Amino acid sequence: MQDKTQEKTKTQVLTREENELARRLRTADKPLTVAGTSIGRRDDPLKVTGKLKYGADYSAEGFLFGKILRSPHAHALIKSINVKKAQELEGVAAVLTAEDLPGRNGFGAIIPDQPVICGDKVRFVGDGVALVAAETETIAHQALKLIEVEYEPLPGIFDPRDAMAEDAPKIHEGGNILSDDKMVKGDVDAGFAEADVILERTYQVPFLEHAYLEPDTTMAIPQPDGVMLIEGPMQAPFTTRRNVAPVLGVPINQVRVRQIHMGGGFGGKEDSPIDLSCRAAVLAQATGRPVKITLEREEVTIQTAKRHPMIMELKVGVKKDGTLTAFQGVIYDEQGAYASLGPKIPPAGGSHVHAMVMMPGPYEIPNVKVDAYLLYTNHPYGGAMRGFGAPQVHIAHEQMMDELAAELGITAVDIREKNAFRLGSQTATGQVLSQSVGLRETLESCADRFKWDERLAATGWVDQAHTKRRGVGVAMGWYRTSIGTNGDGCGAAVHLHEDGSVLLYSGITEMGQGAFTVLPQICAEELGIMPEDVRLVKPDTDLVPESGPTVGSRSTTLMGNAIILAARQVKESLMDTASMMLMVPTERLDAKGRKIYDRENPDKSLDFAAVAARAMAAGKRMIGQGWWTPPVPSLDGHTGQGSPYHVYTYSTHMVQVVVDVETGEVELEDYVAAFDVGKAINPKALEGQIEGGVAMGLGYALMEEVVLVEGVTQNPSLQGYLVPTMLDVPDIQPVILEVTNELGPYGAKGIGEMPNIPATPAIINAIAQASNGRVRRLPADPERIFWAIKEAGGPPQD
Amino acid sequence: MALAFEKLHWHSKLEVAEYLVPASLTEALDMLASHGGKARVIAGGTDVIPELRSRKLDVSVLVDVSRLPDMDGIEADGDDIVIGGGVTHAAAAASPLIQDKASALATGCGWVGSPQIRNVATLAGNLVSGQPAADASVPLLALDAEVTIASAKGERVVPLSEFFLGLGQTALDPGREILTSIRFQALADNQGSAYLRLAKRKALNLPILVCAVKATADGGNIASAAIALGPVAPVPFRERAAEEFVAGKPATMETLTQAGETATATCNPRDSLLRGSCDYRTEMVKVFVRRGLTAALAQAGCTVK
Ligand SMILES: Cc1cc2nc3c(=O)[nH]c(=O)nc-3n(C[C@H](O)[C@H](O)[C@H](O)COP(=O)(O)OP(=O)(O)OC[C@H]3O[C@@H](n4cnc5c(N)ncnc54)[C@H](O)[C@@H]3O)c2cc1C
Repeated sequence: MQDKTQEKTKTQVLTREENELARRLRTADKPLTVAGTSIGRRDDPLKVTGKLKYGADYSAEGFLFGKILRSPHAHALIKSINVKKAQELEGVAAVLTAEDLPGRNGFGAIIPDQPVICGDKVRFVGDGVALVAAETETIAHQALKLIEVEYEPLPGIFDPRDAMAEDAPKIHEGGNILSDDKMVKGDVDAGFAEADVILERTYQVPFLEHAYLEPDTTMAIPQPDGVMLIEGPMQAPFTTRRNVAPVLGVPINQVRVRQIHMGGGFGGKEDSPIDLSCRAAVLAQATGRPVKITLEREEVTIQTAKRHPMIMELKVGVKKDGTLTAFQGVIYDEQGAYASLGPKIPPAGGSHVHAMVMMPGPYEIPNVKVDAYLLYTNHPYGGAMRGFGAPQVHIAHEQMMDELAAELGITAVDIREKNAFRLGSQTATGQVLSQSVGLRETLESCADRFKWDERLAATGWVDQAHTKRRGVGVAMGWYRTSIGTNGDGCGAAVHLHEDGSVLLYSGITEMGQGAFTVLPQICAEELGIMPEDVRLVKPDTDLVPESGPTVGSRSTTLMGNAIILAARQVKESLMDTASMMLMVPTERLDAKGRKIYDRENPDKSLDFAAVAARAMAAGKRMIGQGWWTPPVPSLDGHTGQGSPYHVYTYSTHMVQVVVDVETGEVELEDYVAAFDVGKAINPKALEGQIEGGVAMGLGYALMEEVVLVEGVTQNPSLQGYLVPTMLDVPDIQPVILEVTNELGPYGAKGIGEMPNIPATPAIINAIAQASNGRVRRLPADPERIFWAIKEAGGPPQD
Repeated sequence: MALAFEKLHWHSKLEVAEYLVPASLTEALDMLASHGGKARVIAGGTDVIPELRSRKLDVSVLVDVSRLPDMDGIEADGDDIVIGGGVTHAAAAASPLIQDKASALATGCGWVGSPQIRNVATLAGNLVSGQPAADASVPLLALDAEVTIASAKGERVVPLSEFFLGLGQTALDPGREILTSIRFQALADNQGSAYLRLAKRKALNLPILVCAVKATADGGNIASAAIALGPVAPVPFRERAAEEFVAGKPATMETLTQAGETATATCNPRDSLLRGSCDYRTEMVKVFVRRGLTAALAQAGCTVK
């Protein structure tokens, strides 16, 4: 199915800035040898043989155990705290309260509004009020019990809409509205006047836990020279360092952060390591000893960031033929107790703004108005989780598209075909999609592979007793590559050695997404060697250039470009050297398969290693440094108009389900997911991302929810918090389309987050198509489906 | 509402002083007796270990019965089936005898946890843990099973109808006694059984509702039926009212639907934040009683009209 759409890739309407960047990169047409092939993942053999060391596998010999005393209240003042008895306990090395902190008492991925240790008040159940470091885990626990805290409980806020009330208790001094954003295009009133049908619906999604298998763990190890070394599984070593330094009251260069291979992150290990690192570091600094904090599963659920819950109110107008005329939306985006990754980093960073921008979906709509409120509550806090605000709004717009289609009596595919983005479409922010727009192609090929028309015609009762019905569902989606901030630059270094081997320095972390495989692949492609000739230096802030965080589906695309630019600097040395050795001008030289050769006379060639040795001997540049900054984003603070992200990945999913209309149980029978990824650098790894992503979207649809009662998590363990098992996940057929991205390495776009996004609404839509049960408040567990069918007056009777 | 964090704590170290591996039943019973009730039987450990880690269970001596001889048989004994006290869910689910002559039990055991759990966890442990929706206990209750319990004092036989005393409580004292075998009647030709389970995902889950049925057909009539449900009470629950209602009635959809309605009058699922509302689960009791009877009767050769 690859390259099916090649014809369409040539049409481009790049801006001048984009054109310049594309010219600088000029990789899209390169014939590939190493990139674009499914080489095995480098970490797989270590993983399947159990040799790979995760954070918790590192010996804690000589370490103190760090523990956090947590608030049992959702909102309360701390009247007094007495740590004397805990300090006196044998084996306790330190008990710290807010007063003992050396530097800034605050951390946060965007704004430092979360106390390292709460001083005067607590804002959610789980907030840290004291830290303990002890010789053993048991002593640490005993010490926690000996700390006496007197609280004065305050009324809490547990619904984001309540947070907006004038007389609502203030969770933070600046009030409960963390961000109030608007996006306005055209005139929605005029748009509604033109509409034949207008629907108003509210959709609601809960807090989600990432449920990565590896619980968070962090080690803080004071070095003899005064440097604080932090080690742990994390997605954002540089953001961690940026927080630990001011908390310790030292310059950034006095903190060194090393990443340990992650056992899953999904966005969650972007900011929980900041939290643990700051806390472990202050304990290590206070005791002068290494400290390890490992969270228990229940603590992971209670303490760490979640996917933001949202209440989304939509009003959408459509003409009889299915053309959308107006979209009006309100988002109550629940931030929880602390800002984490929610608030805006101008112009278009932060999950809240991203949700607002994506809310109307990948459709041409002339009139749009979205009001988006980001609100503090006394719940755990929302952070990044595979899609950063986009999964939530897709659940709203994709359900709305189906509800509109049903109202008009047209099919779910028809209404999407009518409105889907194409090259040159204008988005709700007024951005003209200038290149790499394969959305319609994904719809076409997904429908093709899934046999949509046939299957749609065959939906209905499965059994004679009329207890089960089969149905089909579709959803489309779009997702940005990059993060929409001005500072989204990314650096890499390539170090060539005299034997032709290469060290690649990158700060992008591995969490199962395959970065440690794909990045060397890109480096090898550019130099004309094999992936195994490139060894990747693990992220370490003392060694690798600043690369930004491993988020936003940016690794392959942004880091890939930085690597290409770095590799070209050493390649220049090689080509100059080879040119002299072969007496052929450099323009005629090419490198491939460890050979440098004359394109016009390929027999005239040299071994890559021999050229490297000669270049070294001649004192040529052997270290390349690359820096890639994507096109500058824009988004007007008042109107929400601009070009927030430079390129998007597109997708269509289709699924067939059987619903037991008497119990509400759902069985997924078949699944096809099509993507326009620009270019698949490693198709097999890409398919892995697709399968894992769909499984995750399935969990969101059918079972996942952090259940909270007055701020208390009711299902902190994995017995109560359900994620899909192998048996829940159907066979998933990926379809990969490549509509070249001129601004990505060899045409690639991001893929990490996209696959889970349309999966959730596709499944919800299929359930409704099969049974009439439309679940607008997730998850669609059997009970909610059962009542939704009842509310609809029963299943279809045909 | 405030959260008691101490209760959530999960201890990475087990504080067990002694782990004893007896070679015979007598030795095992002696070991238990010599610790005066302070030791604890462990089989697959899939309930015991989590309880030790969360400190819900406080014992310092474990007596491992998983390697005792003559405890892992699954045999026909006349009209009866006898299952040893050490039989795992995996073995029971895969046994042709149980699949053929007690299919509800094979289905139930096949539902337990995951393959890893089923490979070590035992039916005996499932019974002794005394949970209301345990996947072997509920079908065994519908099959009118009885258990043989050995102690230093001798042996006794207890029918399951008298075995479950309360949530987590049974007639067996796991500090002094060992469950050595489980016995019940194999299904006759005019009998059938079924096990139904409703949950939010397909493995490793808390059931919303489980239902086991054993039915005896008499031509087009229902001679008798045993219906067990969980979790609708603190213990696995026999739905006697519905059983009495269907006995002797024609096997029609109307009878079965009414049986479902009858059941909702006596069994009493509670509102649960994680399992579901009382209203929903009551609706499901109706569906499951009807479907369970339908499936069991079909197996007995009687098609419901
Ligand atoms: C991940 C996971 C998933 C699970 N899923 C399910 C599920 O889906 N359905 C379900 O029903 N259960 C489930 N369980 C619970 C558990 O696996 C079962 O109850 C199992 O049958 C217990 O058997 P065991 O051999 O492991 O018992 P153990 O843990 O060894 O013992 C359980 C209790 O029985 C006593 N005991 C054990 N054997 C004997 C004996 N021969 N004589 C006297 N006393 C004895 C022990 O002292 C203890 O009190 C699950 C458990 C886990 C950890």
